[in-house]
Amino acid sequence: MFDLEKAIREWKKTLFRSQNMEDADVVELESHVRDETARLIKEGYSEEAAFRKAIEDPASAAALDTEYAKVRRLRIRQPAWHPARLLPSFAWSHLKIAFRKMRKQKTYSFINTIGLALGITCSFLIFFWAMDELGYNRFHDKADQLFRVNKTYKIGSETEYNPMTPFPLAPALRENFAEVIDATRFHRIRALVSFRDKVFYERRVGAVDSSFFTAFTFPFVKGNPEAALTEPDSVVLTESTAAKYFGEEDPEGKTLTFDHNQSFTVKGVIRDIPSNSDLRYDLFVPVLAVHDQELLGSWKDHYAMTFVLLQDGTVPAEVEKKLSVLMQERLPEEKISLALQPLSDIHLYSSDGSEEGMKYVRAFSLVAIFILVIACINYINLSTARSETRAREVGLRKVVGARRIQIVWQFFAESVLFTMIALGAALVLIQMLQGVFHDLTGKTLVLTELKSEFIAGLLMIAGFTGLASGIYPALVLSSFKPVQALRDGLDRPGRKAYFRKTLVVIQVSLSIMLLIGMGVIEQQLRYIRARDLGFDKDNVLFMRMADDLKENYEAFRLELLQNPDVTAVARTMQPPGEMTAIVRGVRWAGMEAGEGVAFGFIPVDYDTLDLLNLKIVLGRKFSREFPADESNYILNERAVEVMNLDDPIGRPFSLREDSQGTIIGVVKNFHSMPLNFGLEPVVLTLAPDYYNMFLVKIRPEGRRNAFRGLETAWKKFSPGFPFEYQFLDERFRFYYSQEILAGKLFRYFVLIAVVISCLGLLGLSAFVAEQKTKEIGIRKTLGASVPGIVLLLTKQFLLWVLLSNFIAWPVAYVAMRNWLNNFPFRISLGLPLFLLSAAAALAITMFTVSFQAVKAALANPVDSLRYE
Amino acid sequence: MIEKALVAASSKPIILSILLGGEDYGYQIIQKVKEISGGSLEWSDKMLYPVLHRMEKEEFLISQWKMGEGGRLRRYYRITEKGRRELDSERRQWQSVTKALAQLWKPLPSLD
Repeated sequence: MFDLEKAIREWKKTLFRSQNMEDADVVELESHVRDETARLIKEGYSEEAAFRKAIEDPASAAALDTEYAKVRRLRIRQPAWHPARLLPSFAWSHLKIAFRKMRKQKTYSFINTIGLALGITCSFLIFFWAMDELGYNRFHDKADQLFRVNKTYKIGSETEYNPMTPFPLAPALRENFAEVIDATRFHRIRALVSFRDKVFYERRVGAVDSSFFTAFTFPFVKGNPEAALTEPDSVVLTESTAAKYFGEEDPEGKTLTFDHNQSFTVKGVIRDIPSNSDLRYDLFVPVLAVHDQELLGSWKDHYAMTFVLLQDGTVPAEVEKKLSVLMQERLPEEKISLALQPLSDIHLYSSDGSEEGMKYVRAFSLVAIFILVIACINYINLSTARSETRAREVGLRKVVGARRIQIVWQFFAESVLFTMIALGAALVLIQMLQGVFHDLTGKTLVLTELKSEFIAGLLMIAGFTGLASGIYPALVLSSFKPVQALRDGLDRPGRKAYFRKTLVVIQVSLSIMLLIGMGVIEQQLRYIRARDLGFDKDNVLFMRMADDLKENYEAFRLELLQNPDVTAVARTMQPPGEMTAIVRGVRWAGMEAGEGVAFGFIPVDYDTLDLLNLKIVLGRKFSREFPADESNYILNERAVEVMNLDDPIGRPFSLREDSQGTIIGVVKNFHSMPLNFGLEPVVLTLAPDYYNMFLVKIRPEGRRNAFRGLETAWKKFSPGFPFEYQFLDERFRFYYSQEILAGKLFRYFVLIAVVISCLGLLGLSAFVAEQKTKEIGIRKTLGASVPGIVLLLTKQFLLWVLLSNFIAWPVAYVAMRNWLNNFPFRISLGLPLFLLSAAAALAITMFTVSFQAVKAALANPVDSLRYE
Repeated sequence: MIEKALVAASSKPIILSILLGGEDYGYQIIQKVKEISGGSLEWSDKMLYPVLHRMEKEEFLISQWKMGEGGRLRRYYRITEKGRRELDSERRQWQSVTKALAQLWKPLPSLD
């Protein structure tokens, strides 16, 4: 007997065997066969015949199967039309998922965002600073044709460099060389400037040639650059200086009086000079008007800077040779060679071409990169460490048909989102730090007025951050095999864990390098400031003297000394420790024939040595009791060494042909120049023509009284001149301000880098603790102690820090040795500093890590083991 | 009898046109085709299903399982907006073909 149900079951079995039909398809076909069978029975067929007809022959069944196979393989092309979107499709969904993840993992998201934000902020501030430094002096139209003439000379046996050249050089260059379109002198002077009742002491006055304003680009608001300084009594000022003297009045044609005795007529007003200029002065006067013919013609006195404008396409090296030949013709007694330094280099490179400011631009750029890398490593580590929480998600996405590239995009979307939020936070931070940044660096950063290249820079930093931190997690997370990911839910420890460990080690190494760098800079700066300079700089102040006071100095001195709190008064030329004057063609009895020698030159008076507490090692000091001392000399030990004299006292010695004298004493070596220069041979002499300033030593406990006396005397002897003084030790701080600033900035940046590293370690240790929750629970129930568990959780971090030292030490050693080589007087790199940095890194790491470890170790095992 | 290629080509507009009248399940659609063509359009019955599935994949149709009378599960197909547009374009194409053929097959003018 035919059983329809059984027949249908048998027939369905053959269909289920097909690879191409899904269960639903079979159900649909079954329904069809039943309908058809029923219809055929109604038509009069037997049940069996109806069924056979309904299922058709095997050939058509095979054909049907083929059709199903075609449909299954069918790939429908992407629809031709999309709704207009700015982002790739799925981006919104990816962003939504990213937001959900952020909300779910608050700590982790916070660590990542803050790290990235700090990274972006620091990098941008450094980028802004570096770009500003690199952009100095480039705004002149002919910037690439402008050069400063630098000079190389010998002082004693040392080779020195500086940009000071004789006054007649510029005219000689103009006349003699076809390559030189123009040459202008620049000499800084100071003057008491008055207009009617307004009197100001102007420190930034430039004495220049009339062609100064055609060579350099300083836009004129009033007047004409070509004609502004052609008359000897003309003056050009900046807008704000003009406003200071004349207010709303038209400055043109007004007369300013310098030092109460010389008049200048305003012939031009220039726009205020931009901050990224090294020639930032307030007033400009013709050099011919402020110096006498003798000085202007002297090849021996080197006070002016000389700038040349070369023909386009001239090779500077060839001109340099000719310049040096000219210089040696005019000043044969000394071998001086001249070099040309591009105007755009003078801000960052010193006159010998060494990297004065450039070393900081480089160092800080490196720090910026370090900080950004540390922040990116945080992101990479935290997101790959968390990958197992995402493994199932990735697995499921793949199962439902996501292609790898889509998952890569998804994780990129996440890192982009993090970076965007971080960028937002960074903008807020930068806005908040504007003031601090200005106070520290003197540079003004206004976010809303950023030039396009800085905005591009900011976006590039953010883009780099997003890319660098996103790419690795995206590739790793998208590589999960769905079966493994869904079954095990884990990434197997192996390659990825090694990569993560490597990154942590790199991160910690960078931090240790920065810590060592900070330590070395700090020590070096302290060393410089604490070094015995060989003279006494405490409680000594100095003031510049105007002509009136120079004439009545003796009376002034005696009046000051009436004050019991003033212990000494003496004159000199420049603040002690900043001797820049040099005397050429020094001669002495027993000198070997040959080229002339240059010595440092310090004009002193009878009281200067006592006041500065300079120690005499041989002979005696200058004394009023010996009238001949006016042409006698005192040398320092270094000079005696250079002269190779066993018995210098009483030997004839002369500075110039007309100044024969004898050596009466030898003073102990002292630092006549800042500590970035070596010890130089120095001659001290009583030279009233050169006295520019006076020094006053006061009793510290009587400071107030001393000032009162000083001010009264000043007003009496130097009326009209502002009462301005500076203490020597303050002056020293100013002199090392660049180093001190760099040290301070370095400290901040290192702090930030370490904070970011710690954030990363904190996140990672939290993760490790979380991962081992059950293990800890089991260990505790089996009797493990809390310290034992803390050790278990922290020992790998310990290991990483130790390993990091191996990488950081050699790199830091080489880098810091190079840095220290910039200083003639420097600390030696000792092991203690390295050990200290290592210990600091270890302590910081352990503190950060054990925070989580202790929390995990103290947790009640019942809580961690309850679910299972 | 109509050639296989033509049957295959016409199946899409025919199915879409039938479904314009409302949702329907596979067996019913086949019956309607037979009815309309007077049996001249003969499909191997079950061949309709892969065609339906293809059209669903192409988003011209959507399907839904429903419990029919007698507790039988039936998969009902419904035309989509995209399917309607597709039908419009098919219709234009077929019309231009039939129009062209009609032009060609006009009875020759008588030559009185």
